[in-house]
Amino acid sequence: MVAEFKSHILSRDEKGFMGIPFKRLLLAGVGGGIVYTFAKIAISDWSIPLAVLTAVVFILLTSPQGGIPRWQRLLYALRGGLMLRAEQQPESLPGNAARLLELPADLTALDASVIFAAPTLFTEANLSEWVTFARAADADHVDGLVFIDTPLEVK
Amino acid sequence: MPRDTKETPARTFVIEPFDIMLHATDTGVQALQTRFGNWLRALTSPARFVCWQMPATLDDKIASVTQTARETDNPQRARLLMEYRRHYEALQASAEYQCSLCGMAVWSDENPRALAAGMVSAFDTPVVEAAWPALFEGRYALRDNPFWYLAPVGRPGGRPVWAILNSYEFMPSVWNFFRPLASLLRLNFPLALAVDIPRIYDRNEGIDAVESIIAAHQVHLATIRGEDSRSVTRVADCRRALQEMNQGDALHLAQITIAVAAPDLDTLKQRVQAVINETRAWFLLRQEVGELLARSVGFFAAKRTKEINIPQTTWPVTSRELALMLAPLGYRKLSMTEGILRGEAVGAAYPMFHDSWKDKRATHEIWCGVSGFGKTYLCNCYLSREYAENGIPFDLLEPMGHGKHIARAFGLPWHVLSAKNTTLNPLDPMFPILIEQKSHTTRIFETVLGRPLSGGQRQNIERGLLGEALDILYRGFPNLSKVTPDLAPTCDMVCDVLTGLGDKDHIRVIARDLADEIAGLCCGSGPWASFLNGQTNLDLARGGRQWVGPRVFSFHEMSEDPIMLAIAYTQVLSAIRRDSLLDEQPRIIAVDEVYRLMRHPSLLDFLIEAAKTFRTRRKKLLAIDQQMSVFLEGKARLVFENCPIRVIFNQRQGMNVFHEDAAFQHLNQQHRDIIAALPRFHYVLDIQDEGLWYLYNRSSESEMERFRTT
Repeated sequence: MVAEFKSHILSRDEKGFMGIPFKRLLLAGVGGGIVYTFAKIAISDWSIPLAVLTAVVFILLTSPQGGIPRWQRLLYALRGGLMLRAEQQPESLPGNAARLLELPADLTALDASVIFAAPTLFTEANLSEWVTFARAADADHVDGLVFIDTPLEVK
Repeated sequence: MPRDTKETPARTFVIEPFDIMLHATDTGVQALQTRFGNWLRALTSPARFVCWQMPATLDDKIASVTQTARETDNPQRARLLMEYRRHYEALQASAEYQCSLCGMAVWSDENPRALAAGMVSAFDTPVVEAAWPALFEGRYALRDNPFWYLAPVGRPGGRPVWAILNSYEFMPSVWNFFRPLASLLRLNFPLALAVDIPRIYDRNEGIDAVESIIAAHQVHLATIRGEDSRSVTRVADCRRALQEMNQGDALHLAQITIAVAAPDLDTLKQRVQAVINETRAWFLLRQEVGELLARSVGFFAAKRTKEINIPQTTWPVTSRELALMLAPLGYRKLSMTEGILRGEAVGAAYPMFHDSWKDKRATHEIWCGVSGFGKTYLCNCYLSREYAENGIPFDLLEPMGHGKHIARAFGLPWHVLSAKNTTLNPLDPMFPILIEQKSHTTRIFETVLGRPLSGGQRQNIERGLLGEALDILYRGFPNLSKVTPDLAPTCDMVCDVLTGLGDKDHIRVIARDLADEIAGLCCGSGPWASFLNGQTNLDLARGGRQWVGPRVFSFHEMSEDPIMLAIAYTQVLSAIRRDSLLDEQPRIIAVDEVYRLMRHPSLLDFLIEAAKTFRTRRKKLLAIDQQMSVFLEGKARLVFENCPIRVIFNQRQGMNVFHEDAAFQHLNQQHRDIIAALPRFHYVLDIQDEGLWYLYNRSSESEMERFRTT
């Protein structure tokens, strides 16, 4: 018995241009358009090259690498690098930057006893709350056999 | 909707892998996939499956055997132990062993016992609620040079470096239980594999989601000019998924995470590349960097996916696809080296050790199989291994004469019981209490007479008279355990006493008739006179010894007379039983062709009782015969039910019991097919509550040398 695996049936990935999916082209176009709009006001001579450059950068940074966009992967590597520098040289520039960005420095050191601690659910039954009945109907009365913590005092 | 609320507790379970070779037929793996798929269909809460695999060696076993050889003052055992050491070393040199363990975490409010029971029935293997083992020990730190990895902090002490890979894309390829995960597990280095299932769409929700994707793609395809093969394929895949969901499958989001360990960075790099290459045709893996690496460790703990918090690269799969990701469950590896070598797993080729002496009581075994398929050979090997490694002596009772091989191998006296030369007095005290002794002797006389002394008025009177006669004969011995064979009354005395019994005429007649009947068979020139009437001339007494070594009793010289043979078996077993009451030293009593004893109703009663006594006194009974059916008929079933270990060789002619009997409902059609077609020296080891193994008797060179003629 076998199973033939399918493509990602919950994602849309329509054909675009030159192997680049349409949604990434669209994002690059929108990004380039926004940059062009603002650049036209500030540096009108450079607005078109800047818009084109922005669109290319968008296309490059959104290309998937290991299933996640390149920018995200670069960001994680950068964050990781900062976290490590912060751990090794806390007073350095990367160290200060990591502190400023509130990066999770605790992730650079892993303690097996914390990470792999068993869920605290393996609790033993408290037998002092356990009442045994010969018949289910006896549960209506208070005449079951009860486990008690300590011996009863003799009066 | 999935029930993954923040308060839902994580329940972790440890699952003992089973042997997929016991399902390795088309219908077998199909049934397996269906069962796994059905469990996944019913799953409504997030879950995670993990398999840990570590290289294993036989070093502990070799060390233990060497240590025992050094400590024993028995040169024969020491020699055997060194032979076994060489055998284990040869096994180790010829293979690369691994050990593996599987676990499942379920975030659910359901009763954990109910969850475990559900998994037991779906996976057909032991599942217990327990904490998961840690992926690594001590403190580790992130490192980024030359690539991202986890390094041990402080003294490494043999701790490896780790890298973690996460799946991000599943290729359109064919999966089965053997590819790709099984081949991944064959890579002989420590790794752990997690299949995270963070979300399960309920049926309607899944169908809606997929249908909306189809609709979107159709709009897209209607508006474009030219070909968009990816969209066309996506629509076709969506339709297939819909069909599977309409057949009852659920839609799951799944992601595979693999942790790879190595002693140094160069090796780690090579191993990471090996894993990526091995799986490339089925799914793509991303080596994690930075904080993603640290967070991904959480996939090997009972930490919910949201808390792990890495970018989502899950893949939607239907239950029947996800079922194949649980393939590591079918790859049982070397689990432990404690106990005795019971064989080598067929297919996986790992040695299977089992310690049947863990319990305070002995664990009896039933061995069955057609002649010529290796029962006797395995029995000799097993007795030899137990004797060498655990110092456990044995008594072998066999009717074919092959006991001489094991007797010769161990330099033991070979007790051959013969119709001409052996006398076994049925009145020899075998029980310390008079009433038990009387009952035992009566059983033997019943077998000799070929009829029960009960059930009718006359038979009841006869039983009473025989009991009275025995009472009179044993009256002179206040302590039966002190009666030696030379003092024990004999059959002719029984006849003499019987002749004088009875206070009424008709009773006297019955007594005389019974005396005549017994005398005709057991005295004078009766067919069993020389065998039964006289002083026992076989040394079955313990004689004050603290430890009784191995003994071999062969009955081949009386095999033509089934009654004589049955009585001989019984008397020898009775003597062993009597001695076993004196101590709780472990001992193995192997009875080959046990049916020859069991077919006599009176002696069967004795065997049932003896099996119970042996058990409480740590004497393991190995009941060996050709057909399993003989152990399931009538009272013989009581012996069967006292034997939690079953060694099943080829059962070509007796397969019906495996179909019909309730005791074998845990076997599926593939197990039955395997049992029906087992080749020589192959067998199924069925240990109640522990599992099933399909084994081959890979014996040591010295065992082959010693026992090859059997």
